[in-house]
Amino acid sequence: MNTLSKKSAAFIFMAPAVLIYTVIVILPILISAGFSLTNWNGLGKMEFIGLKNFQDLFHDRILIMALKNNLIYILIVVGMQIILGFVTAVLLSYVKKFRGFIQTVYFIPSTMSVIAVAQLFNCFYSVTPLGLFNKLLGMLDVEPVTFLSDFDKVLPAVSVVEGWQYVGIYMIIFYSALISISPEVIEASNIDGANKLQQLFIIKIPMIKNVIAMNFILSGVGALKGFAVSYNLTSGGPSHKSELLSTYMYKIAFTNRNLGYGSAIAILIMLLSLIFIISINKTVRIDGTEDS
Amino acid sequence: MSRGIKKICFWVVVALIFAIQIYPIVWLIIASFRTNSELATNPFGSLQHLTIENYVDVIQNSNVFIYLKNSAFVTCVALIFVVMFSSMAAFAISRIRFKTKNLLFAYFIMGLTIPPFVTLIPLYVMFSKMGLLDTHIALILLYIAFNLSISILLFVNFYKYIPEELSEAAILDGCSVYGIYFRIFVPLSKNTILTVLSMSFIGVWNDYLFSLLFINSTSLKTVSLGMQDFISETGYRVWGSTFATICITTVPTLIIYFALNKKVSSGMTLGATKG
Repeated sequence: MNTLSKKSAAFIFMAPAVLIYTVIVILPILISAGFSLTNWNGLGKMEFIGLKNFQDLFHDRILIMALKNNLIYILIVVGMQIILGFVTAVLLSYVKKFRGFIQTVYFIPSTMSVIAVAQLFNCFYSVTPLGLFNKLLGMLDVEPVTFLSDFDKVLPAVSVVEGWQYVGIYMIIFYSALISISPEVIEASNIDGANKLQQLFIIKIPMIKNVIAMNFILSGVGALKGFAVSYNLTSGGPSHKSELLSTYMYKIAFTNRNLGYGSAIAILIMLLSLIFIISINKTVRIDGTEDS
Repeated sequence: MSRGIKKICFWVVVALIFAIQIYPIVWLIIASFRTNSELATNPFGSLQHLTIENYVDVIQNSNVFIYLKNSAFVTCVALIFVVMFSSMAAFAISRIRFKTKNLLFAYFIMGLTIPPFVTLIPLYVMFSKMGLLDTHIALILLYIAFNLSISILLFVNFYKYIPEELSEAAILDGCSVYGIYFRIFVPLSKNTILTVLSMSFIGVWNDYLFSLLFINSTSLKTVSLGMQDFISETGYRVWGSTFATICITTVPTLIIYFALNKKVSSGMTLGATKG
């Protein structure tokens, strides 16, 4: 059937998307790689300096801290979103009334701007006046904690914000997966005398393995894009204790005008994402084939 | 443990977890109706009195309507093009036979994993050279480009369910490939279009990174940037007005969300529930 083989039609249909996507998404990645090999500051001349920027990365204490912070950030965010998302999905599947209402409300934070949520938590974390968390601590007779200026507490405090905001999305995905498990399997396990906990771990979880893996990737990729909460809430402070690779890159490139070095950090972020996704993909293949 | 106690425990846990998610929202809404002095001294104490002065202040004295207008403009234009370009590209990938189709599909899917930071510096330089810094066009182009991957994925997944027989019958009737797209695929895609719209809407409306970098003039600011108006240089925040602004600017997203609830959730699951 020649109608569906017309090359010209294919071209016309694909051209706009391919054009915009290539120019705005793909091309800049290549240019970034190019910039990372220079010491350009945006105005003067661009000098090729080879891999010097990357060498400097290894000795950059702030970068190493940002890298560590990023990993912890991802762990907390992904941990919260997957675990809380899954637990609430399981709980939801046993709730009969108000299900729709709960789902709706759970999703609302995901529709809010990250800045809105960040500012909200700014109020929750505050010490003067006494924020929510410090008030709760006060009820337990614990001294107020300066969440956002305490060296060890600021990073988890910042991570929790992003973790909290998107739990709803993962709850909905897990919930849909759980209720689509064929009831016959559940019936059979009931007849075999399995209790709810056994059902959960031995039957349900393995059956939705693909969805769990996909959620790990979604959550991880989302966490890698983390920027707004740290930048807006604490500016990566105090003393870079909540600095992420993204905020550091932003500051280096646009505040310090060091485009070459900033690009090197950007390439590093890109490589880390690739490694992350490939490793998740290897552990559980999500294209349907089983990893025996 | 008796069944009764188990049941109570269960419901207590459910209520607790539910409260963690919903309390901040409820608190936010109530807080937007409290006075600034109350919020500055005892925000989590008992409610003293409710007032709409924050809303009045925001509506009269701030630029919130400018920001809303800007966000609405940028979002609408971007979304129209996202839907158009992605459904067209998805149609070509799904139905038209040409050699590189699978490669191109993988090419777009790749975009889902790319952190936007990698593109920031070159984009800034490019737009700067083209004089597009501090323009809405820059934002629109960015929003279109970064939403294509997910939208194309959604459309391709949907088009799988349109039977070949429909297009074959249309061809026998003398339909061109463009006719098949416009007269068969587009009308059938209503649900997917709504899903794509709602998912992209949330991402675009709430964007912070791109608007932070590419917009400077107050008259062009979008909603996310605008929220920082109430934070002065010294870090002193006018909480009441900030919360009122948050509530006002979240309303459009909520409207879209409640109106299209099912579509948004189904978009999120992305066919993840295939057996």
